[in-house]
Amino acid sequence: MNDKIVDIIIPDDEDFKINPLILLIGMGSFLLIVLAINNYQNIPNVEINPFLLISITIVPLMMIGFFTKKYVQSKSIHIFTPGGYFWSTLMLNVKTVLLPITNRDSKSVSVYYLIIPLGGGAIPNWLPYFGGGRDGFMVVNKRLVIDLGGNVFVAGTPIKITVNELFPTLRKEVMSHKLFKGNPDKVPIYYVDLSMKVRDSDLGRENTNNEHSKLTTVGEIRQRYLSNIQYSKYLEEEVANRRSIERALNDALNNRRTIRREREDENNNENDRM
Amino acid sequence: MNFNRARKKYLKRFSKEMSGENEVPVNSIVIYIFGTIFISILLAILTQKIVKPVVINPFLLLLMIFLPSITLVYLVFLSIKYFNLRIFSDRYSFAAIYTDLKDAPIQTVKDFNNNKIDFSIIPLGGAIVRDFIPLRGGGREGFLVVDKNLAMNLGGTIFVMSDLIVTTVEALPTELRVRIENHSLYKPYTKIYFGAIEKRIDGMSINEYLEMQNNLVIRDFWALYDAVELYNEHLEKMLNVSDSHVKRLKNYE
Repeated sequence: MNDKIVDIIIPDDEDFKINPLILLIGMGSFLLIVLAINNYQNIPNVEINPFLLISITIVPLMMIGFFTKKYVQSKSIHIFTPGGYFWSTLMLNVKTVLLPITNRDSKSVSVYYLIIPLGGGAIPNWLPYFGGGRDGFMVVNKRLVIDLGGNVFVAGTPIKITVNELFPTLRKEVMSHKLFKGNPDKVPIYYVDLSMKVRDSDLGRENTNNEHSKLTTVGEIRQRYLSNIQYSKYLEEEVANRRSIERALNDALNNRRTIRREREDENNNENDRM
Repeated sequence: MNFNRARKKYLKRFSKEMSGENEVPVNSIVIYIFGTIFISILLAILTQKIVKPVVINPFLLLLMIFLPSITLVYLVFLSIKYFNLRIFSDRYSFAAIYTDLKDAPIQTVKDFNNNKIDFSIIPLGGAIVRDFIPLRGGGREGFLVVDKNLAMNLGGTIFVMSDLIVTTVEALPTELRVRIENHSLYKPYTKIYFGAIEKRIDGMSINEYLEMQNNLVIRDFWALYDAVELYNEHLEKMLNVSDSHVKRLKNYE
């Protein structure tokens, strides 16, 4: 009977408060500085090309900066999705967007989306590294986000798109996010709209756009949805162009009318004088 | 205005962008490292006779060379592990060589009610990164011992749907203890991350929670789909109106 009792020993894994990396760097620096001070009069100095010195000092330091960033990211919380994707995140500046939608059946649906900046990190006993949004943004249906009390699980496979392929309201919200920087065509957006549990048959819809739908797979429907958004972006631009042409033509017409009226007035005045 | 043609044109452009044809298969770190070293050495060779050499204390030089190098090696090691994270749980994330639960060894244990539970035993640590030097060494960060039913394959990563307890091998049931101690990667005093209690969200297991949300997510998806189509119809009408206005204005001219 005693064999079956499980004694759970929970060691305190927080007892070593100083990061080993800091210890390693500190001790090594101290040792070499002491050696340098003690021996600077006995051992002759060496000569070295300054660029070579730069290559062996600055370059590793730059690399250290890069890898330290990765190290901090590795120690911070993660957001992960099916398909083997994961990002470090601070889970700060997360935006909740409410989309009140009336669908084709005239039913109103409230859809909540989260805009999560990806990248950045913070670990205990270490300098914080901010910089959320550097690895892009995750735009995800709120229902698919599960906070595990540290890491965050997003239960849907993301599609990598740009901000231009987002639903117009979401596009505006992402572009107005304070951490959104850079070229909108290059900032990656990881869009999650469907659960990983969704099968092709679950998305079956008898009629789409009052016609019998020929779309059968999740991939086809998603592709159609995203191309529709692209198309709406194109239409928005076309409407804006047409309106500017319309405005220009109206202005030109009004100018001509004014000129004609002025000429007529001048002629009338001349006739009156005659 | 041929809307179908415009639609096809944008679908084609979109498909090309999504295909990832322009992606470089080489790891970006390799490019950064070798690129910067190459440029610096090139500058050093080219300016060898022009620029005067600098005088420096040898120990100071050692400090400037070896210290960053040691730190760099350590950080590269950590970064490789980061790029290779395979297992995620509530708070932890681990690098591991296993990407599929099927490959991990299993030990069956009887619980208090004589029910059989299959535990997967996964050595933690070690990594294999694409287009990079392989880094082995599984087991250095301990072992993950988790009820097989509480772990989910996510296609390249494993999601542990359990609250993990950090413990030692002595605290495990006899069968598990013997199995881990006989593991080729086992080292004494190693940490054991033990998962047997299911993580619950609003009183439901994660699978139950996702099943519950499934229909609502699909409803949201179709709502957005409809909204985009209705918006496009509205824009097409606006475009037609604008077109007719433009034609009328041109004719008027």
